[in-house]
This record gives sequence, structure tokens and C-alpha cells, in this order.
Amino acid sequence: MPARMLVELLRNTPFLIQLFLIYYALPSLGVSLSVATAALLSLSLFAGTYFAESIRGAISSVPRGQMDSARAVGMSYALAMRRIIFPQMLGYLLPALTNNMIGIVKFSSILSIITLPEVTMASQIVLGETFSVTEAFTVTALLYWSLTTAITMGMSRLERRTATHRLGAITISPAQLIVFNHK
Amino acid sequence: MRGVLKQVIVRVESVHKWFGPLHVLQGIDMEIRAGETICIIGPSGSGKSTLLRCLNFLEEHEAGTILLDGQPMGFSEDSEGRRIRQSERDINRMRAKIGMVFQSFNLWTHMTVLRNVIEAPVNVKGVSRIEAESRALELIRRMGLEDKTNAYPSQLSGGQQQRVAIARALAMEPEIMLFDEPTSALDPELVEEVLAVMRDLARDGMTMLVVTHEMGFAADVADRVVFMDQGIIVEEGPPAELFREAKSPRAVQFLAKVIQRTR
Repeated sequence: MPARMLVELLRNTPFLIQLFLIYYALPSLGVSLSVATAALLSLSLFAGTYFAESIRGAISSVPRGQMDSARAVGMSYALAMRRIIFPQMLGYLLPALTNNMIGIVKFSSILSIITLPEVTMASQIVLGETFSVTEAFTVTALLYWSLTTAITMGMSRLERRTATHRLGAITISPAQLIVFNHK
Repeated sequence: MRGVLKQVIVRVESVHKWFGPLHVLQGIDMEIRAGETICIIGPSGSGKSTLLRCLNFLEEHEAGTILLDGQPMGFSEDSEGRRIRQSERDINRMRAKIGMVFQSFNLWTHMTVLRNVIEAPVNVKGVSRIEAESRALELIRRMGLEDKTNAYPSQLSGGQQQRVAIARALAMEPEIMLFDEPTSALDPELVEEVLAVMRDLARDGMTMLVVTHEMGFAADVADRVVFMDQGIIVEEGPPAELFREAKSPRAVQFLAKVIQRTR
């Protein structure tokens, strides 16, 4: 399964190395990418693997009997996924997606290394001009914090809206335990 | 109407099933006629549940034939006698004619009782929502759950959940109902309410195949009791005969253990 292999490859190597490979090594194969394209491509691939893994985890968190009973009444696989599995996996998926999105916002700071003018890069420019270390980094941290907080708040609202009927049915799933363990 | 031979609904012919190296079903032959209630008993690991799951193709048998209304289930033969898997659509159409009740209920937790019951008639059979609802409400009333129509499964006791599961299966108007240890996951005081519903169904002429450890139920309701062990049908017969004078040593041994425990 090529998709499985791609996910494993991307999940088990450091993001920084993936970024270097895409930006510095691809040109030697004749593929030259602009800073922005390389940054976007590597972050997308990286995020994609984590999202895919979270979705896979959420699907497998739905008890197997749910699919059995759906197939037993004559539902096709697609209908069973749409009507039975997907609505139930949301409860497992949303907390994992929140984690993933926060991770991706924070990981975007690494893109400054290939000189993408994102927030961290901007703070270094400010730092170079003003020498105000504390102010520059505090403002940067606050910017990240407000972004991730906005994500958390939005996702919590979504979770509350989908979870109203699952009275006490939610347990910790492997999907929720997938966190960014890269350094 | 006992004694009059009715139409055969399900015919099982030398069905084999392997799980890896494990030969779970070692040549099962069985015939189920309209209106019959058959109880399958036997020690755990004897293949009872697997046989049930093969009948609606939740497990695929590797050899043999299962016929529902004379139509092969899951596999057909081409002109040269090769075994070919049927299309998903054909398999789903066959499954829709078979109701199944699971040990762990498997109600859809994100839907109310009413939605659990109307889901398949509306989305699989294409019944109009109004028609499906009025039929569902009738079934829910028959199960004695009219005050739970809009409750979610997590708000119900095990016995109530299992009765909803029975209503959900009946809503598809199946030709046969399969029960896979329907009371094994229930607290003892809730077993009887589920058995009572099943007794009513049998009395109304539903064709039923029940894997169970409830010997009292089998003795009361079953037309035939089938004893399975190690992937084969060891012995079968009317409950009065099988329970009193089983012929095979394995059945005698099993029954002695089970009946001792119930007393």
C-alpha cells in the first residue's frame, strides 16, 4: 500500500529533515521550488500524514459491531460508512484534529529556517533592527498563542455540538493520544 | 401446523470455514423451513456463532453452499462450475432479507430508538419516511418501549436495547431472524423480557435460528435443537428427545454440565 508507506515514511522522520530534502535536495533532481512553495508543500505533506493517521485511528475506535449491524441490514460499505461510522467517529476525531492543528501552527515556525517570511522570521527581523529581545519574542509567542487559542475554542464548540447525544459514551481513544512527538 | 412440511427458507450444504489454520466449520448441512424455530447449542468455540455469521455473509465460507429461497448466498457458480463471488449489490440485497440480533446489541449510538428502527427501511429499502415511522412505532409498541421512542441507546438498559435491536431487524420484514446469543450479555433479571419477545415472535410464525445457552427457552420454544461441537453438527432433534435422551457422548456430557448449572 503506497499510501500507508508514505504515511509511515513521513511520520517517522523529522519535519526539519523533510523540509531540507524538499528545499535543498530536490533541486539536484532538477526540481527547483520557491521558498513559499517548498514550505507549503512540506508542511502540507507533514500535516496530511498526521490527519490521515488521526482519521484512521478514529475510524478504528468505532466498535466493530457497529459495522456488523449496518451490513446485516443490507447497507453497502459506503452507506454504512456515511450513515453509521462517520457520525460516530467524530467524537473521537475532533479532539485529535484540534491537537493536530495546534501542532501545525507551531511547526510553521520551523519554516523560518529556509527564510520563509512567517511570524518567527518576522520577529527575528524586528529583533535585528531594534535589539528588543524580550518584546520581540513575547509578541511572537502571543501571536502563536492567540492563533492556537482561536483553534481550540472553535473546535470545542464543534465538539459540543456533535457530542450532545453521546451521554457518557466517550472514552479516551488511541486517536486522542496521537500528539506531536517530534522535536 | 406441525407435521406439514413447509417451504425451505434456508438450505446449508457442506459448508466449511477456516480462520487461518483453524477449521471452524467442518461441513455443515442444515435445512430451515418457514415458521420453524431452531436453537443451536454447544460449547464455546464449537462454531455456532460463525455459522450464523456465515448465513448472512458477515463471514465468508470457503466451501459449500448456502441457499436462501433457493438463491445462493455470497458465491455463485459460472458455466464451468467455478466459484465466483457475487457483486456487493447482490450480497446486500440478500442480507436485507435476513434479520440479525447480536449478543452485544450493536445499536447505533448516535441515533434515537426510532431512528435506529427506520434507518434501514428508509435508506436501504427506500420506504417513505412516514410509512417507515408508522411501522416502526408499531414495532416499538410491540416491544413495550413506546415511552423510549426518542431515547438514545445509552439511556436504555441492556434488555431494552436488545428489544430495540429486535425491532430494528424486524423493520426490514426479514424472512428469517438470526439470534446470536441474544441474552448472554444481559444481567440475569433482564433475560426474561428479551426471551418473552422472542417467544411471541416464534408463536407468530417467524422463522428463527437462535444460538443460545438458555436451555429452558430451547425446551419451550424450539421445534428442533441442534447440538454443535468442534465445527460439526453432532446431533439434532426435538428438544424433548435431545434433552432427555441424547445419543452422542459429547452431547450427553455438555447437557449434563449445562443442566446442572441451571438447577
